[in-house]
Amino acid sequence: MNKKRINLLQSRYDYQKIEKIFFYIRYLTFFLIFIFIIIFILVNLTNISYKKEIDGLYSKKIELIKELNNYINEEAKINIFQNKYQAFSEFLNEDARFLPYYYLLTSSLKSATPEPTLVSFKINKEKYTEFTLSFSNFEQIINFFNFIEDENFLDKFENINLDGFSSTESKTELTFKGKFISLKNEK
Amino acid sequence: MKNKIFVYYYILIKENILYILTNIILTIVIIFILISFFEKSLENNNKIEQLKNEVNLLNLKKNNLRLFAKNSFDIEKAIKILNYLIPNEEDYFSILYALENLSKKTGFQITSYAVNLSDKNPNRLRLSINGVGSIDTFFNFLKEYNFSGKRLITSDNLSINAKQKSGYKIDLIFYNKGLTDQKNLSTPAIDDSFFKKINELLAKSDFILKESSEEAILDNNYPRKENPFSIE
Repeated sequence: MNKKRINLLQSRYDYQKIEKIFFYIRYLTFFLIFIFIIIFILVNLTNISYKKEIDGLYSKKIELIKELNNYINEEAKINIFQNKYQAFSEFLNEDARFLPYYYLLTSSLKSATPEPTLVSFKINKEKYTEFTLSFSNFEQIINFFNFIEDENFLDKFENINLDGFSSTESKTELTFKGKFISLKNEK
Repeated sequence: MKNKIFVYYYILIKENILYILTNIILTIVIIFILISFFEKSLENNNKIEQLKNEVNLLNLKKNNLRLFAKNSFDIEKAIKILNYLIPNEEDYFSILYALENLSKKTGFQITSYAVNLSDKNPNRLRLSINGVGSIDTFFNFLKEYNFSGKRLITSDNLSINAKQKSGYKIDLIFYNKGLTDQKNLSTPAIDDSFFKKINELLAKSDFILKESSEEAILDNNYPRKENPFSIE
């Protein structure tokens, strides 16, 4: 069917819509200009502050380098010393430090009544230890079990377990395995 | 009618073309500025971080220099002692000398030793030694082995058994270490307690220099002939 009339109201509505869009485009231009100015100022201010900070650090670096250049020999000696001392400390940590831990164990055992006999003692650099104690009778073992559950004995170890038990007519031996808590001043 | 509408659109666009173009250009410029700003900021932050690290390192070196000077620390002596304890290259004669020295000082007689080649680390030499002596001399040995041989010696695994009467077997480790590249070295922060620790070590190992200087003074007063071909 052919159109014979135009809906003027509808067309007017379309024009207004289009006009509105262009109106917003004009507004957007001012908004974008405003945003551009704000961004431009902020970017420049930030860049200036970055430059200031970089220049400050750079001049401080140059100043320190110049100052240290007066002590080149001393600095080289310190580097050599620190290199060796670092290696020394690293290597010394590989030591099992037998004696301080041996004395720690024997002095702890002295407080046990009656004191057991230390048959063997073994320690490695990680402070893992294994030791065997000998007892002359069963009653002594029972007393010792009370002793090793005491805080004063247990606080020497990170962990400690009864690992073995052997008995003959004359004596009974208990083997313990565990790890010592590191001593601060071992040497 | 259609034509009229198009003309209207055309006029509208023509009137606003400047705004449209400005919007497009401004949007592109703002996006471009923001992208380059973030890139530049990232670059600047990295640069600042790097410079801060460099300045901190230099300050640390300056502070170390100040502390070494303040504590009037004899660094040359310390280097000498450390070079005795840990030579730059392995010196097998000094190992034999260290074992002999230890034997002499502690009374624990080292009867034999074997080099353990299982340790592939070039900075370490592992020796298994056998020795005889009383429990007291063995304990003397355990007390002294770290420095008394004028070499740093450690033992990473030690055991003692009451059933052992006089023979003991111990694994000992000797060390050597050359200078590493200065660039790979970290500069540790030091304080006054560091010097306390070092001075304790130097006090313990001060004998090394004393004994070495005594050994270096050779007795030249042996009888000499004027004529090497004379019988007298």
